[in-house]
Amino acid sequence: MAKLVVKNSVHQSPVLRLGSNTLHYSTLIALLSVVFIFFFTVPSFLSMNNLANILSQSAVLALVAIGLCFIVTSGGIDLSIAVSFDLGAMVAVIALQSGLGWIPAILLGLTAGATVGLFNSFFVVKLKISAFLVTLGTLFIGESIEKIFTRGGEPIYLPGMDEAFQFLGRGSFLVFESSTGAVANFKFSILLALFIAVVAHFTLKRTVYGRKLYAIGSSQEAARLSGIPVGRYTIYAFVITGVICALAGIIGSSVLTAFTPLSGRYYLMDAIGAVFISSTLSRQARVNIPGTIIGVLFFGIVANGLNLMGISYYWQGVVRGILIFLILAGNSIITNKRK
Amino acid sequence: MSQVAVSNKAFNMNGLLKYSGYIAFILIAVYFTWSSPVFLTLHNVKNILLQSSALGIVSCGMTAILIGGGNHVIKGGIDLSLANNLALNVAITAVLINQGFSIITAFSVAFLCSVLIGIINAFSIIKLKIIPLLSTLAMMYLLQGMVLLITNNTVVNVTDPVMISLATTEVLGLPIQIWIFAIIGGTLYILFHHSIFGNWVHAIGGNSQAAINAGINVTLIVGLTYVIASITAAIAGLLVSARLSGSVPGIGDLMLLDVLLAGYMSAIFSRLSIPNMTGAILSAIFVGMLSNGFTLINVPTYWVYAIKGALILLAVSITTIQQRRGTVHG
Repeated sequence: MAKLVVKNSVHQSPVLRLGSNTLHYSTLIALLSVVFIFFFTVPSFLSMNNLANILSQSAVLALVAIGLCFIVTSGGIDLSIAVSFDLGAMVAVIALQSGLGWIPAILLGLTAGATVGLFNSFFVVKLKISAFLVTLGTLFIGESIEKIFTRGGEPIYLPGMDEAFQFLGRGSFLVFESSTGAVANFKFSILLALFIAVVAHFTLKRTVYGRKLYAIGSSQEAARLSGIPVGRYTIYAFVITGVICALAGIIGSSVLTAFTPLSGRYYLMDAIGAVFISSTLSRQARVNIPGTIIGVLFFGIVANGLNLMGISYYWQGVVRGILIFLILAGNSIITNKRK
Repeated sequence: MSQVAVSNKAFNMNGLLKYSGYIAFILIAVYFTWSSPVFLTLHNVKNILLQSSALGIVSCGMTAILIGGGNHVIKGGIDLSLANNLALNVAITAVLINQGFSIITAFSVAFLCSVLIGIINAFSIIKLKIIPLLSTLAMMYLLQGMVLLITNNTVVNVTDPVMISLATTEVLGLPIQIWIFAIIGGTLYILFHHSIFGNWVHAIGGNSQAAINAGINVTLIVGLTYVIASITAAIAGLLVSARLSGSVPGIGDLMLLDVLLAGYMSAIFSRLSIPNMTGAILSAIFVGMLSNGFTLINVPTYWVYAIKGALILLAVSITTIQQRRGTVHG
């Protein structure tokens, strides 16, 4: 008996626990080692101004991925985030073009995202069709609408955009100038993405709504039987996803001072990748916001580092694929061993 | 007497429900026939089948994975790399033929590459236990990059007599591509719906733990579905490179969503709403028919995708609602 207790206490020793916890964060460790590799091979990688670049470039993808988190938490998927992104930007830019102020323009853009969410949820919740098919249909319809409004996909340029609207994507909140004269420009959009991330994390982890959304994601039937209004909550999730992605689109259009049709597709796969990477970071294989942000930063850091190393765009897909694969493989080998 | 009538009617309704996917399909075909005199000619039907044969073959592969993987969004089976696997296959075949290799060598190398990709996918999913969605996403990025590297992001033209004959030869009045589509579709149909292997795959997709307990070699069979899928991608790749007479940038990204669509839509051609081979073949033809029909009745290209999306939503909604009414448990 005594022996057993001793054995147990050894097993529970803080060092070992720390060990298993560290192993658990293998994705994070892999990310850090990628950062180290870039740090040693590219001198300018870890400079303040490059750091500002990475973060500013990741802000838009971070918002798209945070939006996607909500619907994936509820056990669904949303391929139409690309359309929410584009339509949000398009409506806002057209509103600005027709002389509206920046506040109504943004509100209209967000409404467009919410409409996409409502459209999806009508089919998924009311008619109970698989989310994958519905959102794929929405993707086709939405991209067509963009082409109709932009005469087959011409970008809408708006050089003299409203100052306040431009500030969303181009404004800075923190500017450093080092002794060498390099300017590190932390964009306002980083702050915005961080704020949304914190609010989303709090909503998913600490509010009744978030907890119930996780319950719906684990088992819809069990959630229904325990009295959770599954339908209503899923509708909210779709709308939240649509609105956050529309916000991302609005920021994207503010960065470019233009609306480029079909640019949302560019973020679609990366967002899905980032969200699902977050599930490998969680003990219960659940989607979560901090993990998603790590995934987004991973994509940002790899793209930036490879660019600085002067590697051609063609190689970047290959390297990115191999890196994701190695991280996932390492993660799963370690977790399987622990079992 | 009235009771008999009611039960009789219910029986008929159920009989109809089984076919609601087919009915939606036929109604749209009737509409096209009504609005364009050219639509229902032998030549045009051949055209539609020809256009959908490559997509149909890959969709069968996708469906194989969906059947064996179950339909859980996060953990379920999916292969995002399939369309880019096809693109890589096309690129390798085209580039090697241009380097002076014979078509047999070129295609064999491309075929082996595709199968190798399938084996890597299978290994990472069943041995390393990575979620299929993520590991195939990583593979998709990798393949996209490789296609860019191999083709330099340009059109690679191929003028090989075998390729040309593969694109134009007709056997017994039908283009050879349609025959290949029919043979692959038929083989996979028998393999997945009328063989013990198919029973195993369905059992694993339904409940993999139960399948393990029943003594089925789950890892081997799930792995095989990924390898089968990449073989279909390789064969479809050959058809695509013949039809486009070479490699064109962006085929992979273009086909990605269509493959997913046909794979998932196959479920509406089944009473139990389970992906199946017949459904995959019909869905691929359905997608091909929509593109063809809208071109014939002169719908501007901007609108084609919108109408395509709307019709797919409509067909899927009607079928799902009817199927739900037809079954006792909601």
